Amino acid sequence: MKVTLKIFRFNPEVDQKFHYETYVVEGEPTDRVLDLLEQVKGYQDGTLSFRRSCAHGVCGSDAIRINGRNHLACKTLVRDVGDKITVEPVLGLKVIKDLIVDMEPFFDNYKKVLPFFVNESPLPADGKERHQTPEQRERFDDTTKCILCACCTTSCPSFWASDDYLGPAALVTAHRFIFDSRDEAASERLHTLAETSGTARCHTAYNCTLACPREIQVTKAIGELKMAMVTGRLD
Amino acid sequence: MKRTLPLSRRGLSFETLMWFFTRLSALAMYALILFGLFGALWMGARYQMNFADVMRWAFMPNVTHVQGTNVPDIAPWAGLFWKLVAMALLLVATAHGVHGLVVIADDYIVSARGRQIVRLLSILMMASMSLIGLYIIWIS
Amino acid sequence: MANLHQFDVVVVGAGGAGLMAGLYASRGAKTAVISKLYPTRSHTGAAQGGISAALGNLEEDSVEWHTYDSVKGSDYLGDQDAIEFMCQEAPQAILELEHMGLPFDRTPEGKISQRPFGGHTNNVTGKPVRRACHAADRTGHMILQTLYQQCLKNKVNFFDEYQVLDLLIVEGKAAGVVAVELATGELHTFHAKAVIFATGGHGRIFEVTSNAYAYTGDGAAICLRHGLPLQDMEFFQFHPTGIYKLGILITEGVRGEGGVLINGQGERFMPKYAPTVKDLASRDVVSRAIYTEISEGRGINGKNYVYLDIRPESVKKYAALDGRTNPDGTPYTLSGEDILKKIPDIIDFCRVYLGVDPITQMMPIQPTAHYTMGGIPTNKYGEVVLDDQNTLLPGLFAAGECACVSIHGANRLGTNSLLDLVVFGKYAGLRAAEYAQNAGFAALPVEPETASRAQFEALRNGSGRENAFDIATEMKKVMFDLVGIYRSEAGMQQAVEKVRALKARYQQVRVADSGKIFNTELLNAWELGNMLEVAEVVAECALNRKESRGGHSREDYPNRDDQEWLKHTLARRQDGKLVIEYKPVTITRYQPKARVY
Repeated sequence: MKVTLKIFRFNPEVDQKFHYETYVVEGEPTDRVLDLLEQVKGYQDGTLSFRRSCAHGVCGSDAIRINGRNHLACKTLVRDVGDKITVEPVLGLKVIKDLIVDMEPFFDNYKKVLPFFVNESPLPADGKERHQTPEQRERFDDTTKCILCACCTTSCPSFWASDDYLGPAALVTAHRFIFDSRDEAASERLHTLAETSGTARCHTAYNCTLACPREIQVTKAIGELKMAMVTGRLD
Repeated sequence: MKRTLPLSRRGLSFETLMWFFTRLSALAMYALILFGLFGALWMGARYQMNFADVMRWAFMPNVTHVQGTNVPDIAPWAGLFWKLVAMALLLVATAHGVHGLVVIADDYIVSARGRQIVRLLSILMMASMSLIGLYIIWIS
Repeated sequence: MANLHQFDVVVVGAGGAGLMAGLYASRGAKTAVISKLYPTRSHTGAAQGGISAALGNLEEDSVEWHTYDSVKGSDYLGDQDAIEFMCQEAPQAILELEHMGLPFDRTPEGKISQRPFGGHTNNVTGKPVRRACHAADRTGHMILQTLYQQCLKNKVNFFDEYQVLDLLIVEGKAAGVVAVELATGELHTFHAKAVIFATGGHGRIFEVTSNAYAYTGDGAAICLRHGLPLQDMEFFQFHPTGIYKLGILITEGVRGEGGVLINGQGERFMPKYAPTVKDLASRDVVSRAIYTEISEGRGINGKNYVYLDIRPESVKKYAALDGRTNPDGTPYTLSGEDILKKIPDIIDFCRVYLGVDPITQMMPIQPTAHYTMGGIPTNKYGEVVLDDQNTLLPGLFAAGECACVSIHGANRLGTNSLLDLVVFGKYAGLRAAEYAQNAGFAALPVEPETASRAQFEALRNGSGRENAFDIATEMKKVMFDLVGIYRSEAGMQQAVEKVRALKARYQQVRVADSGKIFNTELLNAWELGNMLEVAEVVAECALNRKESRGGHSREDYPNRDDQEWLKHTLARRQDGKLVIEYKPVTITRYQPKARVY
């Protein structure tokens, strides 16, 4: 079948302003949108630039906007979005070239929530693993799935509006550690989240939950963080 | 094993406090509105007032809202108790609403100084609105 | 040289091995990690099923058994001293990951949970043993995230989205690397005392692969250009269960949890090929079995795929036939919810890409190009060696999939790749830091960027008569069809010629994008050059090895020949020609014997 792709184009070395280019490619309903972008790049316009790596939704490179909603290009099939597809970069981060945006602000926010396991207590005497029950492990399972693709953060109206909001992805990371029974830095993280740029900026628009390609219940996780800040309960 | 952070370790920031206050004040408003509504019905609104008046009473339980209607006896409405209820709802609602405005303004205004100015203006607005409301409740 | 950086240790690649090396090197030396992707995009994140260690958390297990299984899995081509070292280090490595916060799944007592995996057995009974420590079916993701997080905690310097183009070797010593910053197109020179390559494999030279776009054999190709040898390049692992046509990996863990392979006649065929461990035989054995079923007309509807079945009623039925029980002795069963919990990502892949729900339907699968067993030869400390005398190249290290220690020999056991990354990444990092403490900086060449610049210029100034995408497509097809699971003299001869022809055509490619900022067209074309370079070596080495061993199965030489071929291949480019030498296999305790599962 013929698929029409309308793609956002911006070359910072030539263009003053972005424009859209339309390409027609041969595709199957089961093709990934990424496959079509590769087709365009391979045969119609080599200058088209986008990020990609694993091509099956686990590396998080190819977050883009397809028909107005955030998706991973490799996890979206033609049959899900139809044969007229508009492809644009995600919103809220500066476009560098075509579909490539500047990810630095996103990772800067990630780094603000102490995105690493902290436990300075002595190891168990036998040198073996710190114990954790399956229930304690289950408590933060959902947020361990995050691949930092930025689909959630760049779909969040608060993030679009505010330059300093940590964004859903950073909060998801905070959740992953705060609710880990082995971690000891919940206090520091909650202090960061309690700032004006933290959970206060979440107005439960739910865009993040809808956008997450890993189906993480992002808004729920943020809600749990807000409750933890008020009650102090971490289990 | 329970994991609970004591207040001393999680701190109490303005944001957290206000987030919590916004939730509580919303619940309090529901409670006060229902309370006012039942009060109005109990005091004769079933027979003498129309729907619009009942709603006004419920959301702004103020005796001046009854004066213009065909309710013959407004004395119970003007008592101290109902003035206190009206005042509670007024203060909770202005604080709740103005904080909502601050939250939205914070989305768009990022500089610390800008936020300070907006907060100052908001507090002034909240204070003046509350004063006007109190004046109306207590002079009538 | 406006963009000159100086570090004691430079790590190239930020997957599991690179991050582990960076983490450990940074404790003793000023370290930078350079990656062409953001580190969390690395392909370690796609690993699913588990990482093995003889912890014995759920049943009896021992380091010796793990060692023997890996030796047997390697079809006796693995160096046994290195395998022993890795298996001994394994329990400590897993515990270390746990201490770094890795969220392993847990047993009811709170210990790290383990599951059975292909080729891992109880050496007494011969039955599968629970050895693979896992976090659902995202173990690699958790390892990658955890290591990246720990690197951030330890303030390792990262250069994200920098593509390394060249290795600098001065007077026989590593002196640094040259890289291009993707965001600006500027070349940067990294002056270093020690360089660690952790650049991953080259699965993208095959048509159907589970590997990422980034897996283009950059490290191997750079080494080839410098005349360094690559070891055992003929051995490439085809994972038995890739999603039909797409090649996306379906973890062996599915079979570990009780899944079985079913052919077009609705029959479970693995008992014919591996009577004891059946569906949990080594990957090469299972891939060949699937291929045989298909070529004898027993694919599904006569097509080139079979089914993988993890439906609860099938699991129950075959577990009863196999006499598989839970640790408490009750018959083994698996409910729909259990499946959702144990292999959530697999379910998601099948639903998204196939519209198939594995809980109620069977998954169509075919073997997929998966893992590079060969690579840059190293010793067990990650130091790159140059010949059969184990002569070192001072300052150059390699770890992970791009390296060949060799622990995987002719066929890697499932879960041993993650273990490889963690163990040898760590030792490469430690050894590199130690080396850097005692070494000085070698003088840089006057114009270190010349070679890289020339490669880019050639791609910009080609005649434009050829299309890079076409060349890539043809190479992938040739390699998959002719240097795939089953190989023959004539086929491989043809493959070598075709790849050479493609290499010639590659000279005519011209990159249209003349920009500097994120010129992905130029970079993809450069990567294609690497793939062609590596593909040719793979095909030539495969043609050279006249026996069948592990992942290298020849129709014309169907048997293993220990007399002639119990040796590693070392292939290097010299004046445009491929020179093949050999290196003996280290055998300590386990003499080669017939390999039966």
